[in-house]
Amino acid sequence: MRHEALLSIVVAATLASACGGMGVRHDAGAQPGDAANVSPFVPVAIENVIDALVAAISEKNLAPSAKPPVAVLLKDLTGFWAPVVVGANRMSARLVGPTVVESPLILDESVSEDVKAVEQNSYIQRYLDQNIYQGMAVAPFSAAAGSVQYLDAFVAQCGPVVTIDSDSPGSQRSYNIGTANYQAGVTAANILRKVLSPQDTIAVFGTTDTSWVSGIQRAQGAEDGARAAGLTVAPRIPVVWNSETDMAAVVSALSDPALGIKGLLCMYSNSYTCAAAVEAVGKKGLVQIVGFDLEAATKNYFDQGYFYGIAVQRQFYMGQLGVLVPYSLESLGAIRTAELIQPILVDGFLLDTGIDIITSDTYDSYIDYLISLGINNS
Amino acid sequence: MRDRLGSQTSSRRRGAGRRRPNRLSPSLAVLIAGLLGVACVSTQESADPVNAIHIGSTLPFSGTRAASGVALETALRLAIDRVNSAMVLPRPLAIEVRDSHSDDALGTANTLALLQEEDIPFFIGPEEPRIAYQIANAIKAQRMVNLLPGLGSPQIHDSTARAAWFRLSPSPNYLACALAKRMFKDGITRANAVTDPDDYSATFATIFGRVFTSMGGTLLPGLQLPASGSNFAEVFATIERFSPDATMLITSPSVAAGFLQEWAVRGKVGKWYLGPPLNNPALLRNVPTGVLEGMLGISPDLGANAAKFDADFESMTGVPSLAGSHYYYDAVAMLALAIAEGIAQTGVIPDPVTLKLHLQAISSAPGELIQYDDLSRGLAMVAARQKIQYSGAAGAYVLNADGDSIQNQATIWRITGSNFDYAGSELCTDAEVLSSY
Repeated sequence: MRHEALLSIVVAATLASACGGMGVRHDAGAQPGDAANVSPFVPVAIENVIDALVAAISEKNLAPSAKPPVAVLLKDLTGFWAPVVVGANRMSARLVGPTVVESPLILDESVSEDVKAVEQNSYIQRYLDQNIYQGMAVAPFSAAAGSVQYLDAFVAQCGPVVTIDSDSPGSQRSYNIGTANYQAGVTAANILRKVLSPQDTIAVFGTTDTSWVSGIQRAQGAEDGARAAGLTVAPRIPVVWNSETDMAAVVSALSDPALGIKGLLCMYSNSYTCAAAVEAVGKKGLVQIVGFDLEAATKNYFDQGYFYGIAVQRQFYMGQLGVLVPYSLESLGAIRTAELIQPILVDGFLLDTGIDIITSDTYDSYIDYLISLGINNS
Repeated sequence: MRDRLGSQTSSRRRGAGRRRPNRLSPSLAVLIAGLLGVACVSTQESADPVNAIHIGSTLPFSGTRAASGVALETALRLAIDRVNSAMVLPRPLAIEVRDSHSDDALGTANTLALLQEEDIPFFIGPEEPRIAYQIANAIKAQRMVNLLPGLGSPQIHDSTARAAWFRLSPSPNYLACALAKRMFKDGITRANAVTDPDDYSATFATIFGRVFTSMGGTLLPGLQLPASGSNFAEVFATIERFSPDATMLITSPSVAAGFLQEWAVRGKVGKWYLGPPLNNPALLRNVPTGVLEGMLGISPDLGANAAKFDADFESMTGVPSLAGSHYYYDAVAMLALAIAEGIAQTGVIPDPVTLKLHLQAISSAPGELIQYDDLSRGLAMVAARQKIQYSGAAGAYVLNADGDSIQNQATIWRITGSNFDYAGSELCTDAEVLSSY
């Protein structure tokens, strides 16, 4: 029934759109999209902000030559970043604005973030040399002073900068576009609480590295949320991004009878480690897990029933806003833009793209949504 | 509710009642009308008995992509006629075609209506990526097989579905990489793209930039073409402001014709490379001879069979072949061979997931090589449970586990008079593309 309803809505919408759209060839922004628009996963608040910004920009009726070129400089174009690329390109098409979407080529992923930042900064230096771009969205590899100076130079010479996903709080960037990590941690804890009893013990598999601010925030939110939900919180299981060490740490915690862990909150894209550990100690069904990011290995364990839920980020919208917000800042100005983004603005600087929680009950619906957006190609 | 169309004309099937006003140039409209006329008299209507195996399709017969619709439909019908002539399948193939109008909204509505009205297990197309996305959930819900032969088709994967999608033409990643290599070899160090605002063009431009930058080039901001009817003065002004060494153009032949004529009037400032959709006679027919002389472009390498197919196609149907025609013909041929193999092995038409294995089997070595024009023999062989390897109008196919073709060689062509002449080949490895995006 749901599918039939969806089809009828889409058909009606597309027919209506067609009747009103004659004579407009390239109105990519009014795409029929929009089977997605009836999905429960559509983030209505974000869509509303996007529509408001685009409408305000349209009222300016900018000549094509007056449209500000925007550079979108990501960490990669694949994996986690692929939906960001799609979102950025779609927004560029909607605005009919000159845009480049690129990332540095990091051939050796094992090098430090600071080394990667050097390569990324060379792109920004090129933008400065070209003096073409009037706005930039960047996913900075580093928030250190050496990288901050490039962002600040861009702001001074070219135009507004926003950060995507990772932030550079010490820079003059206008906004950070990404997940509100503390709240995401709280949300994950509340989801886990649904399948546990009061006073059950949980552990957070999260970073203890205080220099990774967003990672710490998410883990802290999870622990605070769990406590607030009436759960007992065991000492944090540290993520060090070494698969063997991380696996051993989770297995050790799960094997400790004094802890009696009934639930795991696994904060990052290596959430599959939690499931692998549960499998290793033979506690499938006895330990409930809520993880983050639908990596292939995580999805495999999800399909086997190891996870109660997975929190997924909305990268597509990071890409959409990554183009739109600097474009708006440059064409509408900072004050008008700030007014329009208010509904999704957190703490004055974070444009919260939020998360979706996927459970076995909602998984098919979520995949349908991704397919309708054209971002389920992996 | 099933609408039996065996005695109806092709144009009736395309939902003529919903056609949008013709906004093509008069010369192009005349051309299209001529092509439609030729197609209608030279292409046999496939039989459509009650128990036929139905294939659905949505193609652009009007709007900016209209230059390709007739040729692609003709390719489908040519292959269907050959399959049915072989009389190997227990039921004949029959096709239901709707008009996308080159419009995502109208095309989606027409396609969804078709899927609701008809019991169609197989769908070929559409050309427009956004329509493919929008119908994907209906394909999934109805457990269909969707073959995507269009040059701009997306890759659609859903391992949880009991439907299946197959992308038969080369990935834009590899064509974009090949074009980047060629432009860099030509001494271009600053480049950008002017494109239609669709996902195919965006992907093409993004991967082009990734490869071009990795070689030491500089990618400049890309531009989207404005609404039809606009003049392109601002686009040219903006390009001049960015001052690239060269720009690649990815759009439909009709839009490109208008755009490049304006470029010529403006004094031919800047160098242009043309994208895969522009290897199309409609481009040359709508631009005065000589204006585009020497311009280079890129297309999939269609292999050794392509020239023969082109000649056969035009002589048999009266319709000039396009680069995309080969993939549409092959879509039907491969589908029929896979169905025949499935029936031979199990007695029933294979379900979508199983069909993937049959498509991989009939297109892979070892086996008796079956040329595209020898379908009767190929069908008879698979029906006799003999292993074959289909050699299509677009050459060999290698389908990966996701159902996507990974046959990705590119051909560089040069416009010479009224021809697209071969001007070299480029092949990118996975390492060069540096991306699974």
